[in-house]
Amino acid sequence: MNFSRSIPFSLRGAFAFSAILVVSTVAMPAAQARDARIIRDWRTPVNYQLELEPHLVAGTDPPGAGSGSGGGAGVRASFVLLPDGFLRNVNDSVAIGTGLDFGRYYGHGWYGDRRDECLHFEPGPNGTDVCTETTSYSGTYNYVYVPIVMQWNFWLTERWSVFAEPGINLYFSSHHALDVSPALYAGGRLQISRGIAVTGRLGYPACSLGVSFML
Amino acid sequence: MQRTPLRLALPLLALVVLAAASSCHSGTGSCPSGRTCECSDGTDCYQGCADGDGCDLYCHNMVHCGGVCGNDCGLTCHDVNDCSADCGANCNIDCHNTVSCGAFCGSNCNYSCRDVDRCGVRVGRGSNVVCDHVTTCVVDCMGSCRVTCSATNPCTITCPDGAPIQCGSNLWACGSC
Repeated sequence: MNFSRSIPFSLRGAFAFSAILVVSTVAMPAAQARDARIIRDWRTPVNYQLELEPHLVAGTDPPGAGSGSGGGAGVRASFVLLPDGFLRNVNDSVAIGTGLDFGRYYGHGWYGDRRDECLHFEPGPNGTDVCTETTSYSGTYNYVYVPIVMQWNFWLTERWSVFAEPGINLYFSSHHALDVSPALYAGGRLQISRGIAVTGRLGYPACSLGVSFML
Repeated sequence: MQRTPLRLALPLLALVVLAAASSCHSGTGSCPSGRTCECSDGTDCYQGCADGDGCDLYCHNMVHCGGVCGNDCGLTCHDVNDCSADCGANCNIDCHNTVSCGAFCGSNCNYSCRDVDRCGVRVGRGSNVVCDHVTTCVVDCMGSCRVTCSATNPCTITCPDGAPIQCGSNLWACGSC
């Protein structure tokens, strides 16, 4: 099985559209020129307290024992902490985001028929070594992510905004334990009506495309 | 400046962590539940049960190999140097014709170690262990268990409460016979 067959078409589409949205948000000055620029309106705080964002997710090479590519769905809640942001003279804001994402990964094909390896040994009785965790180079398996990130928003125009999200991801991928990985995202929003936006996010461990409701 | 809803954020964060903690049960490795997965001819191979439980892992004719599985699994290993097994409850593990066999096994484990130089196993309550033609065998019982040692010297058994009791010429037990 190759990568293009390892995730459903809708998720590949979501991934592609997410990439287009983020790139166009950052790089398309014409889009910014069509609606009023507000990036210098730093005295105007954001007019919402909570952003609720159901979304589709897609990713590859997850943290921990797993590998391969996959997709799923989830929701993100971002609570505004600093409506005026960090910077003077710039229309920014800061929120703390958390949520829940479920992803199913398909390891077949990404590493071919590579054999699994032991990730962790523990000393056993009589001087033996016992392997207690292995890789998952093939097969299918599930991940649950709980991201905890700082969302730093830049409100470029009345319709377009971008954000960066550094933080951590708690994840559950096996019966062994909860684990933690770093998280880093860059994203963008296109406001389609009052209080509603299409939101795309690129980064690790998974990309997403969803709809934001500003409450 | 608007009031920030931190009092909402923290309970929501706790809720999603709890929901995530209770929603996922899968294992490391690539073997699907209910299938026999075989690994042979090479240097190293460590298999795991992708769905957590119910795998049948088999490896032979290698240098190092092993299996990691949840409950209700079977692990068979022979003609290797070092074989390891980590299994939950209700597992059947067979290790023979190797240099060493090491295992962590949960409750109601059936573990067989035959024609091995060094065997070391930690088992849960209700387990049965056989060491047959083993140079040194060490069995750590975490609860009641029965251990058969034949043509094995020394055969060291540790029980959670005191010394093992002899139930027959080759049979010892932790707890009652």
